[in-house]
Amino acid sequence: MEVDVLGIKFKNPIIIASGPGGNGKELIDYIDLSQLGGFTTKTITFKPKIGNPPPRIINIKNGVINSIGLENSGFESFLKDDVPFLEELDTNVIASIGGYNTEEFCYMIKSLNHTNIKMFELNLSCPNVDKGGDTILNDLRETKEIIRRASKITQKPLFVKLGIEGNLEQLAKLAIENGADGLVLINAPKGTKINLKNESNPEELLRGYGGVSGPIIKPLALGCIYRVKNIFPNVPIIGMGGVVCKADVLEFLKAGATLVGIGYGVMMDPELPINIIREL
Amino acid sequence: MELAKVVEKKIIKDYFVLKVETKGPFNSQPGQFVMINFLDTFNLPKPFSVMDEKGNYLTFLIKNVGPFTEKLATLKYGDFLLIRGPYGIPIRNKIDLTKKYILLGGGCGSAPLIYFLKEYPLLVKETFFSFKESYVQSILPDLKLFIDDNIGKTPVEFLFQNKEKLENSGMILCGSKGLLKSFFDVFPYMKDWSYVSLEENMGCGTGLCKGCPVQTVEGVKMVCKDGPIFKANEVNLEWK
Repeated sequence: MEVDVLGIKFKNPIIIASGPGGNGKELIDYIDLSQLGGFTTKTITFKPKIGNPPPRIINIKNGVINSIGLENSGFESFLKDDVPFLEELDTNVIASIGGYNTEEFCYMIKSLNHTNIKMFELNLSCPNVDKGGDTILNDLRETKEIIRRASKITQKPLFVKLGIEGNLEQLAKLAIENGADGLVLINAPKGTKINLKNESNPEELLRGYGGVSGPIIKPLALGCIYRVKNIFPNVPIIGMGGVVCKADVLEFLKAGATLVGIGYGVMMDPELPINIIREL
Repeated sequence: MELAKVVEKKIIKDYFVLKVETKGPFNSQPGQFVMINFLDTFNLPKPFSVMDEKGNYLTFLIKNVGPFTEKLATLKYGDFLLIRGPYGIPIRNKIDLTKKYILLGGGCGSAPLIYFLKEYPLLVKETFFSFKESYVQSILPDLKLFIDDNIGKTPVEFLFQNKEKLENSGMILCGSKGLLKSFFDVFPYMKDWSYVSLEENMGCGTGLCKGCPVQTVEGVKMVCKDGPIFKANEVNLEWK
C-alpha cells in the first residue's frame, strides 16, 4: 500500500503519531521502524521541558487522558542526540515542532532544513504555558503569522496539526492559505475525569484537564477529516485519533486521510502498528 | 501481546491471587512487572508486579480497587488474558548486594518483595508484608504476614518501637506513596540505606509515553523504565 505524499514515498500509510513513540530510540526495542510508512517525533520545544508532575495518565473507558506536559530535552539536545539516529532510519521521519512564538518555530525549522527529516508538523494545539495556558490556535493572528513565516522558511512539506477546538474550517483555511502543505487531524481534545469520591479535588489531573486519546475520540477525528476533505479535497491529511486495528485504518482512509497515525495504539501494545501493517 | 490462560484464582473479599499460564517463560526477575489487558477491550493495559514465576506460570497478588481489577477478579479457570513484559529493572540490579535487607511491603506492594524473598533469601534480614486485615492470610497461607489489625499498629509504628531492627540493615520498600512517606517521616536517616519500588499510573509501561514520571536528583525519570526500584535518597516523593 505505497503512498505518495507531495512527492515523498511512504511504504504504507501507517505512521507513528507524535508522542508515544518518543524519538524512535525507545521504540526500536520493540519494533522494526523500517516497516513503518513514517515516524513522527515527540513534539520538540526550543527549551527543555521537564513536563508535568504525576499523575500524567488517567485511564478512561476506550481511551486515556494525558497530561505529559511536553516533556523533552529541548531543541539543542534533539539536534545532537536524536537527529543523527533519526537520519539513519529507513522510514520517513516527521519532526513535530512546538514553539512558543514565531521565532522559535522558525529557528527550529531552519536548523532542520538541512537534515534528512522529511516533513514538519507544527504543534500549535498544546497549552502555551507562557501565555496563561491558552493555546496558540486560539490566537488567529499568531497562528497565521507562525504558519506564514514557517512556510517561507521550510524546505520540506509543512503540516499543521489541528483539533476539535476552535473553528476547524476557519483554521484549516487559514493554514492552507498561509502556506501549509497539509493538515494533521486531530490533536487530542481536552477532557476531564471527575472522581466523585474525592470531594476536595475531584479532578484527577492536577491541571484539571488533559488531552484525550484513544478509540473514544475516533468519531471526532473522522468527522474532522471528513469536514476538511470536503473543503480541500486535494490537501493531504494525516488522520489520527483512536486507531487500533485494520478496520480503523480503512475508515480513516475512506474519510479522506492520506496517511494514518497511531499513538494510543502504541501505548496499548508497541507492536500494534506492525501487526496492522501486516494485515493491510 | 501474548495470550495467558488463567489456571488458578484464590480470592478473599477484595484481594486475590491470580496464576496464569503463558506460552513460554517470561524470565521475569523480582521487582519487574508485566502489562495485562483483556481480549475484549480497547482500554490501556495495566501494570502488575510479578509475585512469582515458575516455568510457564506467572502469579500475581491483586487488590480489587477499580473497574479493571474488578473484571480481573471475575476471571475463571480457562479464561484468557493478554500479557506483555517483563518490564522495569530487577531489584537485584540496583541494590548493594553486600547488605541484608528488611523488606517492607504495603498491601499488594508486597508482591515483588515476596518474589525477592523467594529468589534471594540470603539477602533478606526480615520481612514486613503488611496488610490491614487478617483475611488476606487465607490466600497467602505459606507466608508470614504483618497484619496491622492483629498487631495493633502499622509496620512503621512497630519499627519505631523496635528501632534496633534497622541497625546495619538496608530497607526495600514497596507500596503507596503514603506508606513510603510515612516511613521516611519517621526514619529520615534511613533514606541513605533504602530502596523504594514506586507505584504510578502508567500508560505504555515501556518508557515510551513518558506517563509515569518521578523527579530524581538526575532529573525526571520514568517509573516503568528507570525503576520501579530507586534509591530512596534519589527520588522526590513530594513532587507536585
